[in-house]
Amino acid sequence: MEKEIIIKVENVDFAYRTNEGKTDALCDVSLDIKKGEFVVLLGHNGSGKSTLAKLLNGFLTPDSGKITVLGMDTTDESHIYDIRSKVGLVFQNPDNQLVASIIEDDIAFGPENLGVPREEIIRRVAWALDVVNMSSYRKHTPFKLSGGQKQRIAIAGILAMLPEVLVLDESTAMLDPKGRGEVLDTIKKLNKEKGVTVILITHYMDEAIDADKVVVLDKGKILTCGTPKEIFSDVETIFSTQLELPVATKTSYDLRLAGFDIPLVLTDEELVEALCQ
Amino acid sequence: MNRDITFGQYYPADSFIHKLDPRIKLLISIVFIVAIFLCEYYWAFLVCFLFLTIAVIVSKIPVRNIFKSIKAIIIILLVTVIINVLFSGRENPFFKWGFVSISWDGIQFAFFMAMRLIFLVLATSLVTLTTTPMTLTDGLESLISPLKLIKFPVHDVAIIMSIALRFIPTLMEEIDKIIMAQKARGAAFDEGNLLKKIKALIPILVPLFVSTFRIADELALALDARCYNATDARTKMKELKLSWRDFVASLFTLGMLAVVVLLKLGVIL
Amino acid sequence: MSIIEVKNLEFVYGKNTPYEKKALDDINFSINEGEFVGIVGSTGSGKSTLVQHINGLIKLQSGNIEVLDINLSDKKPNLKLLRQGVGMLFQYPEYQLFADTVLQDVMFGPTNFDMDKEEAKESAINAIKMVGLDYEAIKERSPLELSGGQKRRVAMAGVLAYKPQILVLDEPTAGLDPKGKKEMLDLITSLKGNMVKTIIMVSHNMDEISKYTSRVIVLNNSKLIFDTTPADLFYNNELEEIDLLTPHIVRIVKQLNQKGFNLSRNILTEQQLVNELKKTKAGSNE
Repeated sequence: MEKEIIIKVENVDFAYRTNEGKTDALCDVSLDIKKGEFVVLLGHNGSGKSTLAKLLNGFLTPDSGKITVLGMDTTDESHIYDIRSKVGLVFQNPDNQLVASIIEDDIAFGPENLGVPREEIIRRVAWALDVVNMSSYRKHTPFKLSGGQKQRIAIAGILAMLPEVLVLDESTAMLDPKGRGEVLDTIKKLNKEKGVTVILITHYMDEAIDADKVVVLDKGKILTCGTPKEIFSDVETIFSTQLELPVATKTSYDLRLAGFDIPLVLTDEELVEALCQ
Repeated sequence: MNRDITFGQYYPADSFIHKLDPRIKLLISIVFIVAIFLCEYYWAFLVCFLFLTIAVIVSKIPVRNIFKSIKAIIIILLVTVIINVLFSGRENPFFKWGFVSISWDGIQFAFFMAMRLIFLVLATSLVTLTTTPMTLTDGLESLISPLKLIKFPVHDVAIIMSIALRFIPTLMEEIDKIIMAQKARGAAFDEGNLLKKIKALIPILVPLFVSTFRIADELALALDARCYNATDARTKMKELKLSWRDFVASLFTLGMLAVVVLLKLGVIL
Repeated sequence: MSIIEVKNLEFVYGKNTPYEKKALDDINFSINEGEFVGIVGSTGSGKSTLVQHINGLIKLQSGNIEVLDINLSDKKPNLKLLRQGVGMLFQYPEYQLFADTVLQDVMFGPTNFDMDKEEAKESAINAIKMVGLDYEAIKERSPLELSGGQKRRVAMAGVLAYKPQILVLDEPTAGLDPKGKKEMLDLITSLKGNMVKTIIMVSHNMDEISKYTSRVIVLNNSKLIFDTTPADLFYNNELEEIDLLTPHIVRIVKQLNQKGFNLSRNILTEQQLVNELKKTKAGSNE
C-alpha cells in the first residue's frame, strides 16, 4: 500500500534579501515526504537545509513554487497555525527554545497557546515527558539540565501539540556524544513506535544510516536522493560535497580500491562481518 | 563559574504563609502598606508591628534572612531619620540654629517615618521570601487580567515577565563566560580611573548585547513554532485556587486595617 | 621540561552552601613543553574547571599549580604574565568579539599585555594571516558581520596575537560541519609545528583526540582516571562505562580481533587499518 504524501515541495526557489543584496538559498527544490517516513536531509553549512526547514512549517514562504502540508498551502495565512501545530520544528540551540522556569510549564506552553482544555493539557504533558524519558524532571528548572536533556524537553514541548511531522533543524549539532545519542534514540522511537513522520536535518552522515530516505542538499539544490545504502554507495558524489562518509563506509571504499572483495557498508558491524567472510 | 541560583530571595519552607495564594499575598501587602501610612501614633504602629511579627513567626523564615532586607536600606533609613530630626521639629525646639530645629515632636516624627520604612521593607520582603518569582508572576497576571477588557496585553506582559525570569540565570552565565574570555586576553576591570573602568566594560557589554539579541531572535522563532498567538482563547494548565488559608489571612488583615482606621478616626482610644 | 605542574588540585563550588559540589578531586599531572595533550571527560567531569585553573581564571582553593614557573599558590601570582603565556580559546569563541574592526579586536589582547602599538599591530596582522583569513579584505570589517567560521578564526587570531607559549582550546570544533572541523584541526596542527609550542585540547570527540593528540588525560566525576596515550586508552578500556565513545576505527579493530584477526592494538586511523589489512591479506595469500 502506497503511503500517503503529507508534505509536497514543488519547484521551490528562495533567496534571502538584505540591504547588501540577494543571497540564493534554494533553487528549484522538489521533494515528497510520505506519512511515517524517517527522512534525513544532509548538507553542509550553507547548503540551504535550515532554509528548507523553515519553509516546511511556513516561517518562510517560497519566492516561487509551492509547499503543501496535509493539503494546506503554506502561503495561506488562514491555516498558518494549523500547519505549525502539525509540523513541529525543533531548533539547534537547546537553551533558546525553552520559555518557562519549570519544565512542566514549558511543555504546556504549546497546547495552552492552542486553547487545548486544561485536563487534556495535563494529560499531554505527562505523556510527552514519558515519551522522551524525562518524567522525573517535571518540576525541575531547565537551567541545570544537560544539552541532550534540554533538547528532549524541547521535543516534548512540540509533541504536546500532537504534530504529525517532527522537523529537527540540526538539533544534535551542539550536543556531546551522549546527548546526540539520547536525541537520536528518542526520534527513532517516535518514528517507529508512534508513527510520527520525522525529518532530521544534519551534517552528520552517520545519523542517516537508519533513515527511510536520504536527501543530499548542496549549494541550494538537491544533489541526490535515495535510501542510505544508495546514497552512501555513491561515494564520488559524496566526495564532491563537503560531507564526511562514516568511517566504516570510507574504510570499505578504500579496501575495495585495494582489491578486497567486500561491499560498501554503512556501519562498523557490517564492515567486520564483511571482512570475516 | 557555577551559579546554582534560585533567583530571587525565595526561602523554601513549609508554612501557612508559603501556602497562601500569591494574589492574596500581594493584596494583603498593599493593604498593609496603606495601613502603615494611616498610622499616626504609637497604638496604631503597635498594631501593625504585632501583625508583622505574627506573620514573620508563622512564615518560619529565620530572622536573620528577614533582617537582611533592612541592611539594604540602612542608608536611606539613616538619612531620613537625620533629616527629620534636624528639620521637622516645630513645637518648643530645644535647639535652634538657622533651618535646624530639634524638638521632641520632630524626633517622634522621625521615629514614625523610620518605622513606616522598616515595616514597608519587611512586608514586601516577606512576600518575596515566601513566594517563588514564577508564582508571583502568575499572581500578578491574574490580578491584572481584568485589564483585558480595555485591550491591555495582559498575557503578553505575563509571558515577558516569565521569559525574563527563565533567562536570568542563563544570561548571568553568559556574562561570566564573556568576562572570563576577556580576562584571559588580559582585560582588567578594576584598574584606572572611572573613565577607564567604564571603557573596560565595552568588551563585556557589546558581546552581551549581541548575545541577547541572538537569543531573542531564536526565542521568537521558538514561540512561533509553538503557535504563540494562535488564538485569543488561551487556556492555562495551572490554576490559582483560593483556600481556607486565604480567607483566614484576609480576615485577619481586614481586622488589622479596621483597628488602624478606628484608631485614626479617634473612635477608639 | 615541565611547564605545567598540577599537584593535589581540588575545587569545590558553593562551599558551605546547600549547593556545594566537588568539581575536582586530588588531580595530579604535569605537562612538558612540546606536548599535544587532550583532556577528555563527559559533561560535568570537571574538565572546564581544571582548564580554567591553568591561567588563573579560577582562584586556587586547595593544592598546588605551577605554570610557566609562576606558582599559583603565591600570595599575588603574576596573573598578567601567566595569561599572556597561556592563550585560551573558549567554546564558541565567536561570541566574545566586540570591537569596531577585526584588526582592533585582534589587537585587544596584545594591547592589554603591554605590547607597544606597532608591535601589537604587526603581531595582529600576522595572526590574522596565520588563521587563514585575507587580511586586506577583512581588516576594516566589523567582526560581528562575518560568517560563523570567519568569526571563530578571528577569535583565534585574537589569542595568537599575543604570542602565548601554551595554547588551551576548549572544544575548538564545536558546532562546525565536517569540512569546518577538518579545517580547524589542520589549522591547530599547523600552529603546533610553528608558533605555539604546547597545545592542550579539551574535547569529547574521540575520533579527533585519537588522530591529533599524543597523550590523553581523562576526567570522570571530578577525578583523573587515565593519563596515557590514545592507543592505550582506547584499546585497553571500555569507555562506554564513563559515557564516552570509542573511536570507530578502534571499535572495528577490536571486533575484528575478537573474530580471529590479529591486528595491532595501535591502529588509530583509517589509513593504518587499511594498510595493516592489506599486509594481512598479502601474508595469507602466500
